[in-house]
Amino acid sequence: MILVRVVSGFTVGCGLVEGKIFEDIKESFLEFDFDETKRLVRKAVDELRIDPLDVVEKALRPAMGVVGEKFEEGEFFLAELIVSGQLFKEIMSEIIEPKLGLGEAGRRLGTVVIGTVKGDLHDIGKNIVATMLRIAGFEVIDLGVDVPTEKFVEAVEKYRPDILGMSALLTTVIDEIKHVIDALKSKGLRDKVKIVVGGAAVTESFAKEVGADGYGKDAVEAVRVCKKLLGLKD
Amino acid sequence: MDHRERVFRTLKHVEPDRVPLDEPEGRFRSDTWAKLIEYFGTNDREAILNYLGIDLRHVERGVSEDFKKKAKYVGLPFDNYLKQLGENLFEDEWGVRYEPTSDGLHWRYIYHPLSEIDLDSYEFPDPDDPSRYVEAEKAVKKYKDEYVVGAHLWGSLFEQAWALRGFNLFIMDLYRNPKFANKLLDRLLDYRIREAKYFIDMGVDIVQLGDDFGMQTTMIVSPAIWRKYFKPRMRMLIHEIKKHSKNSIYIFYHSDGYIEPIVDDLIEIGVQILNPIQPECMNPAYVKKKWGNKLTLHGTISVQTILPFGSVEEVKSVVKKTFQECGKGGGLILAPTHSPQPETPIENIVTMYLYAKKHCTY
Repeated sequence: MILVRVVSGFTVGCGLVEGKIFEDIKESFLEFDFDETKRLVRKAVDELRIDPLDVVEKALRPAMGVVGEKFEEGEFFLAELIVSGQLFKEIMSEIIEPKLGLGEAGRRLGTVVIGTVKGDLHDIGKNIVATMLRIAGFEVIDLGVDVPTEKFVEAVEKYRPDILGMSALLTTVIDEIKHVIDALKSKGLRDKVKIVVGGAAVTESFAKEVGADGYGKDAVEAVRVCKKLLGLKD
Repeated sequence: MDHRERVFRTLKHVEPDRVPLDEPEGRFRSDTWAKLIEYFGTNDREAILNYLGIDLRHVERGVSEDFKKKAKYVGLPFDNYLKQLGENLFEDEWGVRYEPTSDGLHWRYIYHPLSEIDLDSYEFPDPDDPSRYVEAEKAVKKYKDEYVVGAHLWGSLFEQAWALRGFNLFIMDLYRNPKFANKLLDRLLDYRIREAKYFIDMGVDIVQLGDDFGMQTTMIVSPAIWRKYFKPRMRMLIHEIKKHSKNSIYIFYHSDGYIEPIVDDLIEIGVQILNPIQPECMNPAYVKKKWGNKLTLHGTISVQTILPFGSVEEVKSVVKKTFQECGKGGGLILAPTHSPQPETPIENIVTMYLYAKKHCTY
C-alpha cells in the first residue's frame, strides 16, 4: 500500500500503474466478469485515486469500442452488446457517478430523441442503439415503441434534440418515417434537428428518398453516424 | 401418389412425384385465412388446403380446460386463448402478459413473471393435464390416414425462457447467473419432454421443435453460448423423442434468421428437417449444397421479399428456381418462410402453391 502511494506520486510510476489497471479493467470487461471488473474499477478509483473520468475514457469506453469492433467482425453478437451495455451502465451508476461532482457527468455530446414508429413494436435494436449512444456520451430520450407522429413532433418541440432517431422493422410502417418528417417540415422544425433512421425495414436508399440525414445499418454504425452529423470525432 | 407417400419420400431423400407443400411453420394467421376464404369464395378450409396442394396437417398444444374457463379465444393478433386483464392487456397460461399494437396486427410483451417471481416458487402450467391434448388428438385421428401430421411445439427452450424472464434479463442470466439459467432451462426441458411424449402417443409423424436464435445476418447469441446451454438440452429432448417413438418420428427444427454456424450441430443432435431458411438470411441453394444429403429443407419462399413485393410472374420464377436448386434428390418441402404479412397480395400466395403443385414435378 505504501509502495503504491509512493509510486503513484511519480509521473512514470503513475503512468505504468494506471496503464496496467486500465488494461486489466478492459480485459475483465471483455470477459463480462461483472464482479471482477467492478472490483478493478473500485481499486482504480478508491485505492489508486485515479480520476473516475480517466477510468471511463481510458478503460471503459475503449472496452466498449472493442465490443463494437468485435460485433462488426462477427465475433460478438447481440447478446454481448446487451451484456456489455448493462455492465457499463452498472459501473457508471454504482461506482463512477457517485464519485463525480454536480455538472461533472462526463462529456455530453448532444441530445438524441429515439423511438420505434407507430404500428411497430420491435425495440431490441433500438434499445441497443440508445444504450450505445448513452455510452458514447449522448443524452438519450427514448420514446419507446409504437410512437405516433404527434409524439415524435412533441418531443422535438419539447427537448430540442440534436438528433431524432427513428426505427422501423416492419415494411408496413415504414411510411410513418415520412409522416414524421413531413409533420416536422410543416411545423418549421425540420431544419432544427438531424434525422437518423434504421431498422431492418429501412435501407440507405429509403433514407435518402425520405430526406433523412443519416442511416445506420446497426447500432455501432448508428453511433458513428450521429457523431459525424454533429461534426464530432469518432 | 398420396400425401403421405409424397412427404415421406422427400424426407427419405427420394424424389416423389412433385415437391410437397406445407403451410408456413407458424401456420396461416387468421388474416391470411380471411383473404383465402374471400379469394376462393368458400369457408371450407380443408377444401382450400387441398386445392393449394398442402400435404401436411399440424396440431399444437392447447390450454387446459381450467384455463379456458378463465380465458377467451382472442383472434388477431394472438389467435389463441388468453385471459383479458384490461382493454389492451392479455395474459397467457404462464402468466406472461401482452399488449396488441395500435393496428391490432402484432403484439408486444408487457410483463414477464420471472422478472419478479422467484423460480422455486413459480409453478409451470401442468403438462400432464389431459384436457390440453383433446383437440390435437381429435385432429390427429382425422388427418393421420391421409396427411403427414406435425406437432407444433414451438418456443422449445430459449423463447419460453425469455418470455418468462424477460429478454434482456435472460440474456444477462446466461452470462452472470448460469445457475439460474441452467435451473430454468432444466425445468423447461423436462416440461417439453413430457409434452412431446403425449404427441408421440397420439401418433404424429413429425415433432416440430424450435427457438428463434437467428437475426437477419447474425445470431442473437454466440454459437458458444448456444452450445453451452441449448445444444445439450436439445440433444436430450431429441433423444427422448426418438426413444419414445422407437425412432419413427422425424425431427423438425425451426429458427428464423441466420443460424449457419450451428447447422452442423443441429444435424449432429438429430435434426432432420430445417425450417424456414429465409433466403435473405441463409442461401437455400448453399444450405442444400452443404447439408442437403442430411437435411430436408422446409420453407425457403420469402415473406420478406418475393411474396409481398414480387409480381405473379416473379413468384413463379422464384418457386421454379428454388425447386431446381434445392429439390434434387427430394429433401425439400416448399412453404412461405413465415406467416405472410398483411401487405402480401393473396394472388402471390395462391400462385406460389398452384405453380409448385403443377410445375415442380420430378
